[in-house]
Amino acid sequence: MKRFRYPIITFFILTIIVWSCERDDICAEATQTTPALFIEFRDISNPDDLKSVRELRVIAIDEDDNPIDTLALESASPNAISLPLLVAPELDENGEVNIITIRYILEKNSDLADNDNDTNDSTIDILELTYSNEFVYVSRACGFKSIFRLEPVIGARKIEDDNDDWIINVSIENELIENEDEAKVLILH
Amino acid sequence: MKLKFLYCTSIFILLLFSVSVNAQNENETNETTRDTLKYQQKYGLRVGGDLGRIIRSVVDEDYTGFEINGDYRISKDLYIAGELGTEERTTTTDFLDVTTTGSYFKAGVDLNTYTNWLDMQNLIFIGGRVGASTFSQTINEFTIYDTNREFFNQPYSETPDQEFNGLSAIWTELIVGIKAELFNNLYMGLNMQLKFMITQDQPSGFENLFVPGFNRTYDSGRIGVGVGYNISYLIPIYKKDKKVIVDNL
Repeated sequence: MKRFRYPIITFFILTIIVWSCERDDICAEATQTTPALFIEFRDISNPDDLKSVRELRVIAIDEDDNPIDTLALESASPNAISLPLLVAPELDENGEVNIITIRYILEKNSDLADNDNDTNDSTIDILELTYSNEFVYVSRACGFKSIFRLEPVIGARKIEDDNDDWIINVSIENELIENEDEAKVLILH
Repeated sequence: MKLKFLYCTSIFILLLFSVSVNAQNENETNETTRDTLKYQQKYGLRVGGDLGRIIRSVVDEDYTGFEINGDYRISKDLYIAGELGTEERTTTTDFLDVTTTGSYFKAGVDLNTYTNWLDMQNLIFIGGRVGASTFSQTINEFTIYDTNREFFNQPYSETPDQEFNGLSAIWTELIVGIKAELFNNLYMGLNMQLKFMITQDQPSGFENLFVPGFNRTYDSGRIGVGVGYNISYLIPIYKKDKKVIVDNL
């Protein structure tokens, strides 16, 4: 009997430890889940350099140009932003890949928007994103995430070309958006 | 949460039992008697069912399960033991709702480590099992995990009702427990199992959240745990003498 006493007690203690150490019902923050679109602002005269946008305001709008939500930015004049992407069904009603389009207003010098001086006003450009999404299983705690694929060429573009632009060019660096590690889209200005 | 409390209580009771039983045992060996008393020991097949699973089926609407178990005594301390069961479990998290259905079979041995007084035939046993299960898994619903979901104010959910059939798993178990004779031939038992997954079919693009007989899986590894509350009846087949003096040496 005695020779089994310690194995039994050890077994119980081990079981309790194993039990209590399991914390994987909470999705860890470090886990790569649904990414946002990471965009960098680059200098048109020197595209390797980041260039911040003065007093940027970012607002998502729907098809009828009604504002949905204003994005909270870490810095008032950022040189990079992460735009949330709307998650929608993978396939449309006809079983084809569902193409999603969302629009963001990027407003430079937004602090000047309300003054009455026409020569010193904010500048508004609209960025349109066109993409499809794909659901990928992550883990028990995190469930599924969505990754995105920008449509070739038209995936990220500036629409509404008036004479009052601050964005000069938009280029897609990587169509596949599965993380936020590096810029997928560059905005030159 | 209720279940976790039940489990913890059972662990505590089991621990308490093993300690108090040890204490009795020491007293016995200290006062060694040299009588050559003989007690009749029953050998036979003990069959029973898992009460815990039945109670849980009633209490927990996300669970339905049933298990029959049995052991056959082959020597003074050694038993061949096995379990056969079926389970249905719905795992619900904030982001997943998945139902697993299937059945399992476990076989192995139990070694009684307890030296009984007089003619008592209780067990404190340690044993091993190999378990196998076949099951299916259905994703009832999932919600995409998106830290930006508040921005568009519409977390995306889907109810695919997608079923993965013909899944299977094989694992090993270390089992520790007690079986106490309450009335003549009627036994009540508690046991705990520590499981180690050997192999399992993972559905493509998903994973097994629950395996019947193995219980829930963990992201972090192959370990699983289980608890059993059994009631069983011994069908005596033959009797053998036990010489007390031999046990005390």
